[in-house]
Amino acid sequence: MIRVEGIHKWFGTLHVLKGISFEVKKGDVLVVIGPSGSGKSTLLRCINLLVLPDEGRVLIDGVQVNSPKIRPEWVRQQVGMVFQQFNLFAHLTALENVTLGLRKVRKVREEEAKRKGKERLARVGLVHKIDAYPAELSGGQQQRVAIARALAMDPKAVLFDEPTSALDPEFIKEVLDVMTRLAREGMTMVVVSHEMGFARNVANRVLFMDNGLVLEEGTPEEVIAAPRHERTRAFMNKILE
Amino acid sequence: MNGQEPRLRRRDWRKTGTAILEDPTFGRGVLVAGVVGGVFLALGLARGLGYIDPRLWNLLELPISEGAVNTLRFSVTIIPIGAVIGFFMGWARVTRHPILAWPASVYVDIVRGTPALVMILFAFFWLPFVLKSRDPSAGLTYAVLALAVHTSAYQAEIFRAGFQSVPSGQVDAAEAIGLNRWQAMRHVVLPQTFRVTLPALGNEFAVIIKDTSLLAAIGALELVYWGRESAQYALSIGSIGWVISVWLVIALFYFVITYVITNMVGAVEHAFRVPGLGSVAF
Repeated sequence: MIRVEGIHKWFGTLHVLKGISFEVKKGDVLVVIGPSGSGKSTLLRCINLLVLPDEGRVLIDGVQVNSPKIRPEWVRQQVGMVFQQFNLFAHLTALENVTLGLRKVRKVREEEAKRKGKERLARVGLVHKIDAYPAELSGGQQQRVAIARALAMDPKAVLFDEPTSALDPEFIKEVLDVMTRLAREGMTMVVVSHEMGFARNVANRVLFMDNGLVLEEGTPEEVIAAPRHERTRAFMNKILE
Repeated sequence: MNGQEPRLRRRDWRKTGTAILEDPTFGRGVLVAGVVGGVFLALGLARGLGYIDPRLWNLLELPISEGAVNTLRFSVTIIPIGAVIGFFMGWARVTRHPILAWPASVYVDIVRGTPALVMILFAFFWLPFVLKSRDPSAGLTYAVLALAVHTSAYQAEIFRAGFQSVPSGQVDAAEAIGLNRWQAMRHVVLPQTFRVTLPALGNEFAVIIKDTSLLAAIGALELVYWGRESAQYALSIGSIGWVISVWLVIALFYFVITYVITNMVGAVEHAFRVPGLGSVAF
């Protein structure tokens, strides 16, 4: 479903991604781990073209999308994204956040957008908060609204960029539960996260990145429990302490 | 919920109206309007009962009928022109295009560094000559525009701060659900910029209303001009008390105009208030 072939990205003289390739099949959950600054977020942003790769190809359902022939807005409707800082629109209620894309991009009628928005908010357990503004929600609730917002566009896959890193510990579980349920329902997901429990229980595959390169890739058992590479082992020791 | 559907496309203007009424500043507005109205009523009564010399009364006629009207007219001309220029200059400064951002910041620096009075004199005496204008009132028009340019530089900075107050992550999020750059600007950035800038804009409006008094320097027939004329005449036929009365009335009119306009801004601010945006919730 998502295929990345030999992606390179430079920010000025900084070589952030040095030839990354991987594939995510329909219904797969890929967890990307690695030290900060290793290029994980940039890689994720290359998939929905928030960052344009300088070299290499990004394919969605076999179509190369980092091409002048394809509108990035179209690509982003196929692949949803959830951010570390939630990034909810502060002037809109939860329901308006979820329906904005439907109303302005898909031009869906108001009642239909509302109905769908409510249904998505119900899926993340927030149907009682539809009229709340982001400032009135906890971090965990905001992130669940953000997930509902991504789901409203019926994406083929969802990218998660450290979705629990900015959360107080008490709110991490509710977000991971929603993500787990989403994965069980068959959603294709690429998750940048250091939640090892989630990686072990939910991911099909884990990818370890360091310094712009994929050092290791495999099942969670392989990469987390028995890493082959020295750097992976050092990283695992640090975060599993 | 209490059966209220959240608004989606159009604002419910009836609800906005209620919000204005519920505004705590509205009660204060009624109070101030009452006091100011009371002062005028007392003056009228004093005049009617013969406590005020009719000559003093006549002295105040032109400052009110012409001065106050012109001050208001200059204000409502300058404020929107300044806001439009300021908006685009502020916008230009936050774009990453050097072709837009660079001239805008030069504009702001130059205008902010020049006294409004100098700009007015320059526009009044020199611009008609440069532009070879034959219209005798052109100088005044240019002087009014000079004030609009003056306030626009300050408003540009207010708008710039407003644009920058919207976290770039929200633009990423808007683009991530398929909005293009323009839609993200229109539906995510601008509504927040608008709310965040209103308090500072109201403040700048209050400043520029009183800065229209600088137009007296070129003989524009606004409040201060008529105040000066009347005060001089008052001194020649009456006492220093009359001079004070004249200036008190002038000040009162500035107060009324400023109060009305800033409170209109305040009412809009209140009507569009959203938790967590712009002001601290009490």
